[in-house]
Amino acid sequence: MPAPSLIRLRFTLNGQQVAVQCQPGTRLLDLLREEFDLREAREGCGRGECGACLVLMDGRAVNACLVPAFMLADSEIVTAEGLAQQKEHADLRRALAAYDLSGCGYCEAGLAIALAALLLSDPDPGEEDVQRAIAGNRCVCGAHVRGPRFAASGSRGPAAGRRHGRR
Amino acid sequence: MADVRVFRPKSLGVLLRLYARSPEALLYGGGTALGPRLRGPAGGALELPAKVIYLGYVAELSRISRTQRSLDIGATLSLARIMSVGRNVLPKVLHAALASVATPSVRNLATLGGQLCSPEGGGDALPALAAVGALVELRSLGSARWLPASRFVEGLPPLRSGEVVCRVRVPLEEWDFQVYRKLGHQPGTLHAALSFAGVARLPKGTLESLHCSFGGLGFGPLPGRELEARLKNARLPLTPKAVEGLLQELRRQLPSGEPAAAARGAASESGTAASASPAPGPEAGQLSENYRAATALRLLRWFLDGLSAKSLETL
Repeated sequence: MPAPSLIRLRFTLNGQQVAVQCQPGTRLLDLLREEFDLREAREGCGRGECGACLVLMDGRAVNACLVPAFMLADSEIVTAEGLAQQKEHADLRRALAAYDLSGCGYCEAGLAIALAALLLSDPDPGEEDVQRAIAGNRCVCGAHVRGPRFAASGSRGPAAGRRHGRR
Repeated sequence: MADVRVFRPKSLGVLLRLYARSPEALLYGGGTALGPRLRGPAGGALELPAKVIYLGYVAELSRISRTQRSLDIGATLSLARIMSVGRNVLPKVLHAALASVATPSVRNLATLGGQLCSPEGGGDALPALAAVGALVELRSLGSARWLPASRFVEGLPPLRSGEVVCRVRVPLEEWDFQVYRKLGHQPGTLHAALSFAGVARLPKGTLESLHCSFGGLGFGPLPGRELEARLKNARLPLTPKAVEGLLQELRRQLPSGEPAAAARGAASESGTAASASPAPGPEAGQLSENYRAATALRLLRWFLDGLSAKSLETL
């Protein structure tokens, strides 16, 4: 039986140029977790409904479970781990941790990515903007994820505490 | 595992030549509907066919341009990008439909081409495209044609071998009323179980133009040409006869599982299938079909009643 075709890819991952060889249908989620040991993007629903696997791809939040390897060439991927290393987003991760948004912790990384993507396009989002940005984030524990309240103009992070509500 | 070749053309010409040589190849755009379907039984990597043509690098398919009369949107432009660029010009009904598709992150990948050719029988934005009279450009090596978006509502995408959806032309017309509703989900997906888009133009209290389209029912927009001609320039409020004419046209097109559809008369107040008792011992799917049919009739009556009373909270 012929070997499956492998493709060679180059892309930027958390600010570093990387090269990888893999099957063309390998999902970005699996590449991140198994090839690069970046495990904050997590398997949830596998079809883009829960947001547990969100990453930034060229500045936009995308579901890593929906991105096959052949879409990655020359793209720029930032994971939740990479966010923590970026000065402008470090405050975001710390603030989210302080919110206790993640009763089980599963959704926090995806939430951070969703909010980071929002901040990239709007440094001063309103409440409705935040709710829209996290509309695709669901937690596997079944709890309702509520977004943080952002401070007034100039803020790049949440200011007041909102808790992870339970249905 | 079979050998898989993925082609990544950068121009429309190369794409069309590739696809002409390999019409069995899988065209892959955003992949938000295809991806979950291609996962293997154990999950993980997508099980791709022998040939895949990735559309994401074809420059001509990701453009958006505007004239005074229309907006031309490339088939692989993401829905999020369309909503962003077209924020102030898109018909509100179409903007609302696009905003309802799946989740924000999915909309960063999903494309208009996928909405037209979705394996689920058309995406949630399709009724809005049909209602506003959008046109779809299809090209193959050596040929090009335009089809109304409404043709894609009717079931299988009407593409010929070797044809690719290139762009969608959205007329930039003024509508006095625009509504979009999306109800429920098809099992295992974020696609609506039923969606409805309605637009109307009402200069000086007359009905100049009315179009509505359903998603999830598998037939084209209403009204048909004959009824549209009869309704043109009708004064508002619409007469009961005019309203019942539209409801009857919808009933005729509803799935045949709807019980006693042909027997309903104009006197029925609700005009819905809910008033008919379901067949004894129905399967779950049949009940679902009846419920969707009943809801479709309710939606249409709500739209027409609101139009007449000018009480609709339009977009």
